[in-house]
Amino acid sequence: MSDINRMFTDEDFAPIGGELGKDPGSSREKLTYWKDVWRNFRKNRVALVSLGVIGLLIFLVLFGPMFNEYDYFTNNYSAINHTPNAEHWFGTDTLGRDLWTRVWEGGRVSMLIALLATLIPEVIGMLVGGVSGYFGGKVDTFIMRTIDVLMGIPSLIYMILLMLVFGSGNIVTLVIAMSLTGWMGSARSTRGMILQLKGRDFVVASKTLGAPAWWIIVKRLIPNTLGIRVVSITMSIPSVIFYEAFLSYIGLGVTPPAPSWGQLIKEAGANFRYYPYQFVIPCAIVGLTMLCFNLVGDGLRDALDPRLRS
Amino acid sequence: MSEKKALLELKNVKTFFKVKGGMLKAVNGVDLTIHEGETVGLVGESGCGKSTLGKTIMRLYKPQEGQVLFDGQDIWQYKRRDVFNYTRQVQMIFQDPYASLDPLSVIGDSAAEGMDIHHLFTDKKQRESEILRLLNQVGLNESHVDRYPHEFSGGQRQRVGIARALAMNPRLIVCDEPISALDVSIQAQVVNLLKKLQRERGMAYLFITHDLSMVRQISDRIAVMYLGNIVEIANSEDIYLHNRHPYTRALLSAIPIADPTVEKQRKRMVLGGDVPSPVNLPKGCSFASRCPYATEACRQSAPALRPMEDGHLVACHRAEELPEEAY
Repeated sequence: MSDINRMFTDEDFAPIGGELGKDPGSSREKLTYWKDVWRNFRKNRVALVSLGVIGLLIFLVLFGPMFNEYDYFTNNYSAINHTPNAEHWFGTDTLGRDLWTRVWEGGRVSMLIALLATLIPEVIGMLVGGVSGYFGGKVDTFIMRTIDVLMGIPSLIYMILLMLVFGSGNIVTLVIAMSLTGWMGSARSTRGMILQLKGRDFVVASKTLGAPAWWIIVKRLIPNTLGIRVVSITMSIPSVIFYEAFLSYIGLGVTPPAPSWGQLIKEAGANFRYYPYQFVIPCAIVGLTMLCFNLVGDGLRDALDPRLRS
Repeated sequence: MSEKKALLELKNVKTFFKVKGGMLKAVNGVDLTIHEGETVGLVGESGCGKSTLGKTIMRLYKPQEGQVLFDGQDIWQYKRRDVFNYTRQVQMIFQDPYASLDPLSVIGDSAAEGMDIHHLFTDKKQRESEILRLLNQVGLNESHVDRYPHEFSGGQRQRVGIARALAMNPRLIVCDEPISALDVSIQAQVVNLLKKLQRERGMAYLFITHDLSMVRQISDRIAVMYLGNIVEIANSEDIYLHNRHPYTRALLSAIPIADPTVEKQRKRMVLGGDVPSPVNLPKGCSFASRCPYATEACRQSAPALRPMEDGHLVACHRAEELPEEAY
């Protein structure tokens, strides 16, 4: 008892042998948050390679069509259904169009839609879910019931209506339509996570420090859900690519002759038995894109969370 | 202490929660005054409403009844601006140092959160040097600034929590069991750190704990809480030596004494029965069901806090009659 009652002095807490600030930790260089994320991301070989592949794909999508003299829309009936050769690297399709050009041209549409139609609804969903989860009560009930109702309506109906209003066949309309229908899932899952988080002491601490609601939502709650969301964001990229393909199939997507990956696969699917290369090549590229986005997402999740960093 | 200016006054504060089958009366009519620069210890068993009271002071829970006065002004009558100002003057230190820091923020940013919210420093360099000064004050150094909470021990994290509260130069810090998640050697460090900071800066503490030996170290006055009520308030030494309330005695007799011969001989006051449900409080004194001295009168009417000698307040009908015993 007497030991506990002893008053400690400052000397009791002085570092033993050595100056302050001379511990091994101080040798670590100062890093900003994103530099730190990058440093940790780099350690993940697989993710790094995937990122490189995505970079290569983006490069090809941007510049690939310039590598030969063909364009994506001119038919050439003297060169129909050629298998890949020195002249046509990916072969030609049933109308004699060069597939190398069409694949990368189509990639522009697919990639752009994949990125925008994933990120925009995700951001909207996070903010709506954040507000809903944080404020709770009536606000929460109102937002959640609204989402229930909106989710009950098939998204295709929105699509068709929006296409009617904005005109079908352009990328902007597609992105708007997908954003308007895609945010609800992300809002729901963000809300769920925020409900768990908002009772945690560090959130309460922000509140007692006088933080306004937006501060808590944007600086404390959403970043803490991001690690989990990143995976589902990257997972949704492939499904968005295929959704675009589906919309193109029913005539709501990109209008022919403009290609997209989905459309290429759809067209080639009919002749799959006779000209498998027309089908396999775009499929392989979509598959590769999906795989790489998933792996990058995995690596990103690990890099974003300091607890998982080594 | 009584000549000092009252900083925070609780007047008949009642904080209830809606639960199935009625209202859970977590804090049921508490009167308490905290003066400038003093430390009030708040002790009681788990579930007696200590933390709820602390959070009511922090404006996290709105009391159903009663007033919380800060500098004589009701904090629930505040305008937006006053609320913002209040969040600067009253700070909280949390129980669990593993949960009270954002895992995604580096220590420096966590400690500076209040400064950032209140825009105390617009200049980046000034902010950095202030963070360093704060961390130094709680015994951390510049190599810690850019590290994440998971790299630290519980005691170090608690220091960050203290630095975060200090950054605002508060006049009152509500310490919600700041040491109960730490091991004993670290507890002493943190308590001494808090004492040192108080000497330097002169803020008041409301020190919530169930650790009776630590609270004696740090408190000027101690309030004992039972089932949402304060049953006894007195100067620290009086609580230990001249206590009047049977519940206080029962609590104190539970402190082990580190001397086997004394420990063997001493008489323990063991309470029978269970704590009544805070949803259905009994009529009369809430402690009557477990009190060895309870009479019919105790079961009929609830005792109010009444003054004894020297600022000593007790809520017991039989305070004078009970044999004086020191535990």
